[in-house]
Amino acid sequence: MEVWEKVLIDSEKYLEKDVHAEVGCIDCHGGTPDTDEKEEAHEGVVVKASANPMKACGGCHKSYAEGAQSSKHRVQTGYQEVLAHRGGDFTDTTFTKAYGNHCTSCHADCGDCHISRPSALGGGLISGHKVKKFASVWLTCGGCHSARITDDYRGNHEGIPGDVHWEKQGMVCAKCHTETDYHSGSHGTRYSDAPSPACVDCHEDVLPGDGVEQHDDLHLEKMDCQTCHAAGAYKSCFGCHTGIDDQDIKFFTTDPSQMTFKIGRNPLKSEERPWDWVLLRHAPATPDLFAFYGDDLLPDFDAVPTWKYTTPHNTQTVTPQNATCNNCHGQDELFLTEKDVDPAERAANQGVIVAPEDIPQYLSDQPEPVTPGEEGES
Amino acid sequence: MIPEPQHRSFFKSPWLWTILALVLIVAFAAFVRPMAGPSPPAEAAAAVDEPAQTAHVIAENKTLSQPQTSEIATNTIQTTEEETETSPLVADTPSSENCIACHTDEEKLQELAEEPEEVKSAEAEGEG
Repeated sequence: MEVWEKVLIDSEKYLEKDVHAEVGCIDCHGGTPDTDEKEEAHEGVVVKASANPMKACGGCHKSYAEGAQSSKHRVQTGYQEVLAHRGGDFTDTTFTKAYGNHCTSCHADCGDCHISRPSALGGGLISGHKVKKFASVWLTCGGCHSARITDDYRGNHEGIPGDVHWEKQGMVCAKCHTETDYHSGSHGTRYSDAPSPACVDCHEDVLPGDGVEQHDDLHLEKMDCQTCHAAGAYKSCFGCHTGIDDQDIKFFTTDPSQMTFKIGRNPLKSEERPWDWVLLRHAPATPDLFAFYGDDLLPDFDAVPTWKYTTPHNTQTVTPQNATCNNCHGQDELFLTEKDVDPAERAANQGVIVAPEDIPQYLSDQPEPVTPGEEGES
Repeated sequence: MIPEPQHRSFFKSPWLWTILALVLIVAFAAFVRPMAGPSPPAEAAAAVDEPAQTAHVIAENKTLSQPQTSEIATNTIQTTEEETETSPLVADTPSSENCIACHTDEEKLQELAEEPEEVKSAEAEGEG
């Protein structure tokens, strides 16, 4: 997108057809009227008017603007909860400076989803300033959640199929994720509450005796759906460090990402997520994440695993680990064992690491493992 | 015997106290009025907190010993008084004609639009 296109207002889509155009530019964005000189006209301009949702949007959309005050997308409660559990002290100005410099750029206000493209994609108006009631799936949702969701979902990783919900049904994000998921949520991470959506919301016929051998009480009680139905590896990130360079520019570095598939112990076991086994993804946090700013700013780093609970968006009915019993049983490499974990992070991951003796054993009375799609081929 | 004229004290005059009271009331009113005057300029009221400032706001809350996310979240968004207030928007005041004239003119935008200088550290590395 050219720079001029990013700020081009579409007369037809916006000025003529969008009710929001009845509100003047300056009412939301400020600036100086009565001049056609560029610099002067832009004096006092607020580019992201909805950074203050109550002021920009609350006049007409009060409930949504109120919801934005605690929205995970805007306030980043997930980051805050995890860092607080790692001992991050949000009353300490050193810590909050580090957090503010490096962790808050991912937040999204109303306009970031309904009017503009994410800054990760270079920003710019999505549709000539038309205020889109439904955000653009690939530009908006995918613009931020590309590496760990969209690429999985659309099958962009070589050798790993996309999600059956996309490939067979063409389902977009909002088909499963409700408006509430986007707009509200004042506590914790997206995994703090009951699964939303839950697979069984639609697949309510998945029950013992439904004709699928593995859908017995034991399997359904012991593992979440993705453990069996994720179709392959998904992205894990490693080694995030932050700093400010000699030009006073904030930066971060990360180690190369890896495609991983690891089954581990459930770190978030609860009544709502009762399973013993879930999939785990490595988060990039490191004990010295904020070492540039001070010593020991995450004193309880080990309180939260770096291999975290995850629900990859690459589900398929038949997968490499569920094609036969022995595609999973006895397959040690599928499970997160101590050798998979950096020694410096083993303490943090004690609760999710699988002891070798706990890996389900090979079933000698069952068929050999097969590669999905190749069964019966000669 | 002729009584001596009464030399009534000036400070015992009721007029003096009445005048003094009025002066005090007027002075008090003059003192209080500026405090109840107009709000700061609109641009100050409309100031939007950048993320880094948001974090600073969290830091200012000294009452949190073990921050809970909900508390942090609440503090994070308590940036300005205006954020909790809605303001009905009034159509086209002041005039946006110049804004629209330029931002709907492809040729003019191609001539004038500039990509903000990318500020990326040479030390930045990796995905994210």
